[in-house]
Amino acid sequence: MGGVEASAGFAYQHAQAVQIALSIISDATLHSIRVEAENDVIDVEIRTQDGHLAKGSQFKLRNQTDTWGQQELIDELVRWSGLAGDNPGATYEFVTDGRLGPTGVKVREALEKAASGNLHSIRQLIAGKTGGAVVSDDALMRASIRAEGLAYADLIDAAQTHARSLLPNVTSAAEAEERGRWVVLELLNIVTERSGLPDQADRVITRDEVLALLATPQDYIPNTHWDTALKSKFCASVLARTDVSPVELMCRPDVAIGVGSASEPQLLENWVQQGSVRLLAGSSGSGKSTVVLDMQRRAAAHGAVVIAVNAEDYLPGRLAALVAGGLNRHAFVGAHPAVGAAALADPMVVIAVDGVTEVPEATRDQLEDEFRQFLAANRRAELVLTGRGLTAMRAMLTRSVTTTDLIVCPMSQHEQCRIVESFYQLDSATAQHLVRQVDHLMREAASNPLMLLLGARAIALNGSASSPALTFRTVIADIAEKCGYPDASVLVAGLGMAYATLLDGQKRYCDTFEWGLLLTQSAQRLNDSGHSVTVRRLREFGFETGIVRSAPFDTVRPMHDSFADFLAAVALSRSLARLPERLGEHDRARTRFLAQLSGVPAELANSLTRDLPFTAVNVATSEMRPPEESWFDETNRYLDHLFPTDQARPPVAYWQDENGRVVVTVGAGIEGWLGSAAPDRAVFESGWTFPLNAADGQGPLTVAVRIWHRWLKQHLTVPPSTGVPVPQNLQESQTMLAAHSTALSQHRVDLSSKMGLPSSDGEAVMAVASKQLQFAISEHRVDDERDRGVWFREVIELPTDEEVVVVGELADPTGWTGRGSVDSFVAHSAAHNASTDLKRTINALVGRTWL
Amino acid sequence: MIISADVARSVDRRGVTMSTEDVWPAVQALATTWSRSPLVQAFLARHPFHNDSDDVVTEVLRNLQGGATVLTETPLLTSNWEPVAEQLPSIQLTGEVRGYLRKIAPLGFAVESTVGWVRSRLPLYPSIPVPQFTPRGFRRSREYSKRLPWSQQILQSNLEAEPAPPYVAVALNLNSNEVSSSARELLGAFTGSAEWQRYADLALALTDQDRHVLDDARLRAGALLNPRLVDEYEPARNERRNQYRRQRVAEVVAELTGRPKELAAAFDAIDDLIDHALVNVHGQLVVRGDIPLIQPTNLELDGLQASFEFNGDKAFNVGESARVDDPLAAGTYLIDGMRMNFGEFEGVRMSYTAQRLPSTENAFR
Repeated sequence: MGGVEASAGFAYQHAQAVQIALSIISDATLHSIRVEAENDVIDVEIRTQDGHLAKGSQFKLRNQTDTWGQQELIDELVRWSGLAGDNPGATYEFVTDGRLGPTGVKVREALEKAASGNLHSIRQLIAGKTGGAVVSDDALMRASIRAEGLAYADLIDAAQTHARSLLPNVTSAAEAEERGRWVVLELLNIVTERSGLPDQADRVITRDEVLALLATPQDYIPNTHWDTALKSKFCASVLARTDVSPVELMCRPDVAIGVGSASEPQLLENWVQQGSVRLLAGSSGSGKSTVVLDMQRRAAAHGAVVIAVNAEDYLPGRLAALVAGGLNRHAFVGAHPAVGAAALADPMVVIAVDGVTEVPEATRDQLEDEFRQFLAANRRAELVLTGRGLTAMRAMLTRSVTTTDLIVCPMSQHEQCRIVESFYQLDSATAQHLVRQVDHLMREAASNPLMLLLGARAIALNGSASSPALTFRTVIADIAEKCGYPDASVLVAGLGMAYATLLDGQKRYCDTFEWGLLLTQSAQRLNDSGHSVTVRRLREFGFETGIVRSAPFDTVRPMHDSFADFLAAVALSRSLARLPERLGEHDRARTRFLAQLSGVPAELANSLTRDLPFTAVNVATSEMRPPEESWFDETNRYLDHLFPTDQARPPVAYWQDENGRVVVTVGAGIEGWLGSAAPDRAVFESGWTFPLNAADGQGPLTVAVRIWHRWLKQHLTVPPSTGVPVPQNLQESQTMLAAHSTALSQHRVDLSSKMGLPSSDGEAVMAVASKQLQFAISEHRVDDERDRGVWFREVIELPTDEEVVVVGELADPTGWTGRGSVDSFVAHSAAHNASTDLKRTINALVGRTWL
Repeated sequence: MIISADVARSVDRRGVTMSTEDVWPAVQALATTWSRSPLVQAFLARHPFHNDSDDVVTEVLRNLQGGATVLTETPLLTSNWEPVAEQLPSIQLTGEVRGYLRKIAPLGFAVESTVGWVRSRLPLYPSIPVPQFTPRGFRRSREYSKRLPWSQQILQSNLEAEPAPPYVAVALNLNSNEVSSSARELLGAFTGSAEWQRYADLALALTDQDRHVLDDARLRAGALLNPRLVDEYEPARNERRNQYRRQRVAEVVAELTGRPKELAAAFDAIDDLIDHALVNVHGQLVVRGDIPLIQPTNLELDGLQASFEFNGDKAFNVGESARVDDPLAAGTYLIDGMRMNFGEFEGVRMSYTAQRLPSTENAFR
């Protein structure tokens, strides 16, 4: 038996033992269970109060492809028979997760008859097959066989459900869940520990012990303390991780103004600032989690504790439990919520909460409340939050909390090459070739490590990865092929339906139970439309390909969030799912994939322009529409969404030129679908005109987006000149900078409100406007005033005792995100900088340099 | 305001109908004449457009283009090039280079003379009353810019009395009759242009009241452009000083109404036409010999302004012109902006913004 099989076998037995330990609670005549009996026949014994064996169980794990046949089962019965005589009144049960073959089933049925006194069948079956051993009727009547396809996770899950039902004095569902989970983990710990003890008297777990565990109130749990020993145990568990990333990604501030930023990219730990919460933002797969885990590893190397947890594991009111979970993440170190609470109060600890923006709003609100209490404490750990958007993260903190806003630095090509080289074990020339192709095809997406690896693989496979969606499709097809799923397209669609439903509820994960329900629905729907798919096959496909994984705390997650988005898009593109009535933040990624897979039909363009205008911009390049008259109405409808309500949309005319091209003229006083009735040159030249590129499938959304682009450009483009005279001395520079800051805020507010976006895109744009620029200006003597050094940073609110312009040398420039000279602010006007800031925000939302 | 050049036609003294369209063949004829000049030929022999070598002079010209784009923005205004070269750190002015720049400087004087001579025929010359004409304004400032200024020296040199642009035949070593005749052709074309006519009509219709308003406006612009104020705003940087001047004058013009405002606009239109034709197009025709025809992609038209991408063998630069081969955008476009987008696999993509030169649909074929 290999090591893996042996471990799986033990795990299976231990999980069964936990179930049995819980089962004795309901029967007061029982005293204890014993794990690993003296003999080899029984794995777990149940003993009565007077010391007799009440029941013996034997557990056998078996590969699903093999079956139990008649002879193997008879051999087990023979072995039991030897014990049965010494233990009158005891029953014996043979339990396996394997399947019974046709002959095995007969043995089981014969034993069931025997239990009620009819021994004929079993006698007939075993006749001549017992190797000469005598098997008594009594032994046969007390034996049974149970075959159930429950894996370790299922057993633990069932045990937790069972434990929850046994808990005394429970005040909330959340507490029940937490305590149930803890009891099972603790029992598992005890079973594992005691089953290895040499003295059989020590291998016992009494009913009283189990009762005590069940009665333990959650917040006053056992004997593990937040001490040096636990810290080093934790650090050791961190350092034992084998999946070390080949490149350590850096972070840099998300500087809102672009002039003279002197902030070099740094490792995440180097951005620590007393009392300030570090916010690390980035899209899925940009490496946020890796950045945190890398920091954790570096910290552990010198004994410092960074606890990385995932907000998806958060249960309302249970921040301490979440932190304890983080301590047990790499190996069970025995942390429980009380330890978590102690860690939260330890200023030497860093707690990093991943995915805070990806949990549903209700959960996020609860987490927000707990953060508030935590951050108000005098002694507390350092906090790092990671998520997709700074705005959403900042909204979780009180305004008075100072933050250091960071983003993961996009990888350099050198780093990209090293990752591809190391991951696929390639020579550097091949890696470089692949990386350049991925960069070329996927543009910004390639700076995301996950997409880089997927893309490199897809390109290496067939070179057809011309969009992120096609890359995902290629990669999944390849994995499925390797795992032996020739019908992957149906299964992919099935998983996609499940993820589409999850995304409708604004999440990409769920528990095992819900996952089962979702897959049942998917299978049902697929069967209805003529595909033959079982729930089991869907489940297996997900887990075996690794596209779906089970994570701690009974959660089922996609390999990466992007997979959930892509799979949901597949279901949408095959009309097996529908987008919600109103689109939100969670729909951004899947609608992009959807457009890449099947273009942008009118309905999608309509929802996007209304709810996620900047995503509408992103998908416009995938439109792929043949020309039709309805384009005119569509474009107008999209423009009504995109333009501010107080702004009249310009008249749009579609016509065909002498070459048969569809041409659009905007703002020339002509309107409608004119067909081949081309307007006079003088008419179309009085407006703005461009031909559509039929080969690129440009259609009504492209047109609306171009018109909006032009409108935004007009409103966001301001001359770079300042009208500001060159300051002649420190005093004048100070005044000029203070005025710059005020004007910048004003211009940002003006510009963003002028855009009049009602959606979440609008909120993101507005958020940029709410910040203030603070300066620290050097007092050193300078030859030319315009060369005087200036540090700057964005603050949500000025610290109470600080001016907009701080004069003097900074003792510590950390936290000041950029450095320039007075001249930067003479050369670039506040209006210009405000417009640059907004353009940058918009481009980030669009996903490419659009403005 | 957009002037429809095709409609506005005029009749010259000989009874021949003239229009803006006729400016371009006249410019072409002028360029043909100039191309025969030994000085022009000497200039072109070491010009990077005709010379691929790393000859020291050619290399300096390349750096002049790289640092200040003068080769394409002011292709024959060589009289400026030595002072520009002195400002550029990338250029080492050796004796040989200086010798070459001084030798070709007369070409620039010939351009200034030709332009000045055409300008001198404008009604109201030399005291054109529009605000742009304030002596402290951008169009008359002696500080360096890419536009050929209306310098005081030339305004006072009585060009309006000259039968032909003085000095050109001597500088270029050309037959003076030939120079005179092509200059007269040129002038005929300009005066027949819609832009010229529009300006002339307005100038003629000017009332005392209009003049009074314009005088006030000019004075106001002059006061705003007091050298002390310009220095306070920006003591050193040329572009910021020029930009300040443009801005102040534009503010004053924006306050005008009625005929004075129309005159100011008409002045800009004819001023631009003369410069674009004689500085840009003429320069390009002399230097590269043609206005090439290009197939644009991603074309977008906004009135007379166009944007497009073009990925031919040789990239264009700001100040150059090209004929756009698309039925929507027939005509010649003067490039006023360019951007390079680097892509590893598709090479460099060049995108341009350009302005259509009036009545060029049939020009330069």
